[in-house]
Amino acid sequence: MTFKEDYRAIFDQLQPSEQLLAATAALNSRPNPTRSRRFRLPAAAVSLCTICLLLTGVVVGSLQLGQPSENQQTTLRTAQQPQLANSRSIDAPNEPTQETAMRSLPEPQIAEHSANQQGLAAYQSPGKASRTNCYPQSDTATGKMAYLPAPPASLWLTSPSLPVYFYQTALWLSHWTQFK
Amino acid sequence: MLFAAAGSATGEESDFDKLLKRNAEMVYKLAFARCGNEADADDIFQQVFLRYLTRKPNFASDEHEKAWFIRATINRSKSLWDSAFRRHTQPLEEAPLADPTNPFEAHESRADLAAALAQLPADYRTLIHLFYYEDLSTAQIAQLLKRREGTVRQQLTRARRQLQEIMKGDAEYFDL
Repeated sequence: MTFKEDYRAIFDQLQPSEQLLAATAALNSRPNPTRSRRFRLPAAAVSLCTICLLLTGVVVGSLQLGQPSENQQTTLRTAQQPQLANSRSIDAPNEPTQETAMRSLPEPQIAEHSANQQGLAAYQSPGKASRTNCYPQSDTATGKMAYLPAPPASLWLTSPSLPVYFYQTALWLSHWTQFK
Repeated sequence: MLFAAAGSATGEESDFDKLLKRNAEMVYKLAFARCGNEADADDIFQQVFLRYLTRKPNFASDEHEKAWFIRATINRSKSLWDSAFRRHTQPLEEAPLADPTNPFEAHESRADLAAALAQLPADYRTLIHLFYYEDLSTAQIAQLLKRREGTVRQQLTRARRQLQEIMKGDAEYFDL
């Protein structure tokens, strides 16, 4: 006997079991044997990316919301005309302009809108009225008349770091949601 | 045979059943030669065919198919050996030999050879199996394992010499 003959004799007796063959053959009858999961991302990486994306979305979104445009100094709100605007509102970008809105209003509301403009002017000139006087106040007689001044653009442009952005975003959102 | 039961209900053998029938023994024996016990050989066997189902490679010829399965078996056994689970376990040295169904124990005179083979490194056992059982030439083995033919020959000689030293046999028995 040689080594080769002995070696072959050993392995000739070796056979895969019938259960193993049956189980392996049954792999093919599965509907989709793990074909769709070739590439798996680590859960930690996915979580980290999701959190970063969400935070980025919050920061960018609140910056976009909070940054007033050139002709958007304030947003007018009334009880009956919540989107009565002298300019574009932040949540309705295709609002009619001031002139078209004024033309479509009945006369009492035009007068009320003029009152709003006066209040706004008082807010924007610090010598005449304090800032707190211009916060929206519910008119006890009519239940109307509320306007919300947006924070000045410098608040956003001069923020030195990300935590300040978060703080300012929270501050602005608290103001904005309070009077919506 | 069992393939009829494992195959489709219509009684027809699918392509996978035919492929399994062609390569089952070769894959299982090579897996056993590398890992030395039936439980691991079973695991490797299933992983190889699962890999085939996942990848669905197109074979140009029978030799290509055989080479793919040999390569996949070697890779799967390496993965099993290097797995975190395996690295944190301690093998029971006596377990394979204590099994009365172990083919190494089936013939008493071959027990020494089986024990000597178990002491060889897995790479040497692979070379011996491919050369002596699958009847591949050293050139084919070199191409399969991506080594130089001279390296394969040298490693084969070393494996046989190591077996001879373990078994204290004569050189003629090992073709030395």
